[in-house]
Amino acid sequence: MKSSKLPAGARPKSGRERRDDSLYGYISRVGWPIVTTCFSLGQAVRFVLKVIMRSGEAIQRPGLVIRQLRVSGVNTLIIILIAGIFVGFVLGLQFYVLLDRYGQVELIGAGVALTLFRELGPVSAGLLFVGCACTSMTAAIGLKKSSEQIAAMEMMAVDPIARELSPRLWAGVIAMPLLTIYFDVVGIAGAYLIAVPQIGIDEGVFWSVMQERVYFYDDFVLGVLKSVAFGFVTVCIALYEGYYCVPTAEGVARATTNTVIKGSVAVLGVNFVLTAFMI
Amino acid sequence: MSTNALEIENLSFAYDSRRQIIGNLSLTVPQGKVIAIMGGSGSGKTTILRNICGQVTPTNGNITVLGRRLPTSNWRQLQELRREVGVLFQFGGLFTDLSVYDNVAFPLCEHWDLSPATIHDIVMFKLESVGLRGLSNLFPSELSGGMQRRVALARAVSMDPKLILYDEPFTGLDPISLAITAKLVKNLNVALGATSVIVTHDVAETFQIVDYVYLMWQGEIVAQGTPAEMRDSSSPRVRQFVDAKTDGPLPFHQPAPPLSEDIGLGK
Repeated sequence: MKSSKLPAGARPKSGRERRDDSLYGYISRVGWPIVTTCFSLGQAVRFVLKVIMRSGEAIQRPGLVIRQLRVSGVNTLIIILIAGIFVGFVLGLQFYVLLDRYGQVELIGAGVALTLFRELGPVSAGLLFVGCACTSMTAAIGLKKSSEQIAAMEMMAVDPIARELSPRLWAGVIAMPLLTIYFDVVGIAGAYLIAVPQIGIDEGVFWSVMQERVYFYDDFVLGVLKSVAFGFVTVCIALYEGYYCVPTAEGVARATTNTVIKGSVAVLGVNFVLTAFMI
Repeated sequence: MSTNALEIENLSFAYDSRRQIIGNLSLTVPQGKVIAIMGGSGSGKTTILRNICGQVTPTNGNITVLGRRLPTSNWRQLQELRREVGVLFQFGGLFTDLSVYDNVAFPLCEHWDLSPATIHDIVMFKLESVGLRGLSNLFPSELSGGMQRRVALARAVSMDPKLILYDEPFTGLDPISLAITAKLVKNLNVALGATSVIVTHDVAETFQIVDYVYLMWQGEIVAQGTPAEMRDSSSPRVRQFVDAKTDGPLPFHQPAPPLSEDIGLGK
């Protein structure tokens, strides 16, 4: 294209920007996203395997994991507790409205506990964990990369994957079920505050029906196991996005956004798959 | 064993096939010497350091660092080699979540099984050598850029490396810090019995402390010699760089199509 034919002020397109209308160009445009997606998937799998394989240092030096546990777990705890109590309040009210229609108001405790243990607890805690801890991990690793800290570690013959990433992964795997249990407990406490003092359900009925209708393994343990899977998947996504981000301010920002999107979708998707297998 | 701490033979490097960064470059650094790789921005100086460190793999050529061939080294050998090489990064690369003390102690704690008292003594000696012993409890964010560079220098030499690589050690320093840092580089080289490679474009300070200079332009060595030879050189390229002349054979502009074409005025 001759630049003299362009409107005044228009910038001539570079080679990359010009559209190739040939068959080769069409195949390239269709194939490129497929190739890059396959490449990214392969790279992600290799990355996760590398992080797992180099976990020896995290096991030998539990202090590294405990430090990350404090960063990712304790810092998320406040939002988990606040969200948990409000979810409990709402569940208590909604179950009252629903069960009142069938004259089964005494089932509120069991209903809330089942909902929290099986679905809402792990999923809500997982989504909050993605928004709070995983974004923080992505930003921390991305900034370490952009400010040459990862490179400095490599140059000192210290493996950044073993020293920085593996402890974060295991901290996330440990933190997630603990946070879920906190969410469940606080949620039930919230429902109790609505059901017993506000609605006037007998306290003994509230607890005894819950004890009778909710099973420790089938409901509680399987929910906690789900949260372990959420912790593993979401932290892997967070670390991958941080480690492979473009080392600029925009790159870190984009990686953090990707962590929220991919992490949230992963929680919902994995939850569906696990639920399908567990039922 | 070779008396050269570093040998580079016919090194070529490109990030992609369209743009070659280094082309067929050879240089040697004898043990115990301080050498400078100088050149303008974008001439490929830092990329050479990245090749020497094993951060990137050369497209062609061989690098021998402390008697070990680099491109063929496996990961474990590379880690062993890196323990003997200290690197001062252009922007320090300090760990922002660790204090000055912990930054300098980091490689010692990671690699050596020393008592806390011994580590403390080594860290204090290293910080004393860069004049920052009194700031050991501060965090990098509480230091100026020049101070951060000095802490990074203390960390780079904390394990008494045999080869020290400096990436732009003088950039952004005030005149006093610059002179002190230059003297420090020379003194550390003597005190540790090490070999130093400095990547820089600061002519005045560098010529005072180095034994040999390689001048690079667009990925190739265009001149070399001792600082005295470089000062007295009649080569137009050397003269332009050393005297900081705006006109000469070393172009300021990177290769590009004519300006008129880019702003839509001509063919």
